[in-house]
Amino acid sequence: MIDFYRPFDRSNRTEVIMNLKGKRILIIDDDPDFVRSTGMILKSAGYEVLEAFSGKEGLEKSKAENPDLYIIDLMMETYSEGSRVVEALIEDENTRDKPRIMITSVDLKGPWDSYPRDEWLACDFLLQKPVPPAELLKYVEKAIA
Amino acid sequence: MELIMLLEKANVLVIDDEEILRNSCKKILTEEGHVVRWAENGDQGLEVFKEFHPDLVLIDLKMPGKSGMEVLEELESEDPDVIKIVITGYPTVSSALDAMKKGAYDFIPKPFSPDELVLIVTRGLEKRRLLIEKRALLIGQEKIRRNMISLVSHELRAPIAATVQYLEVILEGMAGEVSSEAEDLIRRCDERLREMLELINKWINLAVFDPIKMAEHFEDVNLSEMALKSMELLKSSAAKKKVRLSLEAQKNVPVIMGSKICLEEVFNNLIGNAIKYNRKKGRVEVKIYEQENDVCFEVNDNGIGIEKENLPRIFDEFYRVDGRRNSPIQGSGLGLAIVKTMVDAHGGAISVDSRFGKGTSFKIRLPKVIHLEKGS
Repeated sequence: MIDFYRPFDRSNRTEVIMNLKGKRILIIDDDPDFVRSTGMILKSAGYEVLEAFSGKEGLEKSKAENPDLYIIDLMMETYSEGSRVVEALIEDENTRDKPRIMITSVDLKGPWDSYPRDEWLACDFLLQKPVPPAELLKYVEKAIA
Repeated sequence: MELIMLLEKANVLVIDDEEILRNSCKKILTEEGHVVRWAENGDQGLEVFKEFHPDLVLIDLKMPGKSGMEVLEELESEDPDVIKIVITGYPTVSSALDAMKKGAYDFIPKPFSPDELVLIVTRGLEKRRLLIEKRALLIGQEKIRRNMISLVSHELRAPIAATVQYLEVILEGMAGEVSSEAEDLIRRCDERLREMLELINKWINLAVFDPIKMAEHFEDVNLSEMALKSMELLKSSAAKKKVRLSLEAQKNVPVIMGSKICLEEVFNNLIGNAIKYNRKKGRVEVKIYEQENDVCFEVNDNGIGIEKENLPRIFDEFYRVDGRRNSPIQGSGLGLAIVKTMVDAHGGAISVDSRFGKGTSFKIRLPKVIHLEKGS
């Protein structure tokens, strides 16, 4: 599993959240099967799950529901829609400091891939689909805590 | 539009030993809106060329010191896309033709009028614009091709990834209880699909592999360190098969120039294969030593070996010696094709020696870095 730590400083967050249960997670992915299986994994650990099936819907839900964590697919209808979502989240000061996990089906291990990695760096973690359930929960916990 | 704008105000370099000619060229072309710099001999001209990045160079063929023809040849090898126009006296039209064979775009005979100079320079800059556009187009096409492959890879991977994630959710019991036989079957589905994802990754990576791009990331590489790292990674799979791994590395072996990330792939594949196609309690010996101008890397095993008739094909894509579906050892058939591609891209060579039932030996030679002494 490859992950990149967000280069942002989070040290000013003094509050340590011990109880993760009941935290609300917004999944933004245009693949309904992923939204469903990812939702099942998160619910099994006690999280509340919100769903959005496009970048636009994701940003609307974000405004309306104010979730605690975002799980965002990189390639949706457009090539880097996920990155656009992240940009919008960063621009808004209400969501700027919320943890984000980017998930993609793009092969991340290939040493020769040409995809611009910088685009992903604004997330706490970058995970490759399929994410084993235990792995996903581990990263969600790390990102929220 | 931007390109045209750019060349309406072009950088022009004049290399000529005659002061009057330099000054009049500068005056005429500056009035046309160009930025003009000059040099009074060939060596100076080459120096200015490197920092000024001209779009067009006017070169007098007859100069003391380095001849115009030599300057032309050197500029052509520096950047063939820069327009070169030679200035020549009437008696030397044949040398002007010679110059055009050596990369000059046009020639202008002395004496010339301001209008003649402007006309020839304008035409030269038009050619320059076309060359720049063509190059931009080629780069664009390559980018589209790579994006396309990355898109196809994504489309191939996405449905498999979605399926695998469902299977793993079911296996975790998140969709209700699963009988032990169903669990066994689902686990097999999961494994097979993950293998397929791996196959797609490898194949795509081989398809988009670009040796030039790789060479941009070349650095000094210590092969002994790489071997240790790879053996550390494969330690557990060797232990599982009770295969003994050993490394025999010559002390202070020279570094080579290479891409660590690509060589890692080479080491992992070769050592991984030596473990995979071995017998229980077999041996894998890795050797690193200097030989003439190369650093050699050997992987020797006393495993199952490869039959003679299969040896010539082992580096082919998708070729597997044991291609049976129920073969006890699974593989993509791409590992050695990747190894060969990587070794070739490093200017190295790979050879294999095998005796069926006795074992296999792979040997890679990679050119070592030669540090040139000053003045040699």
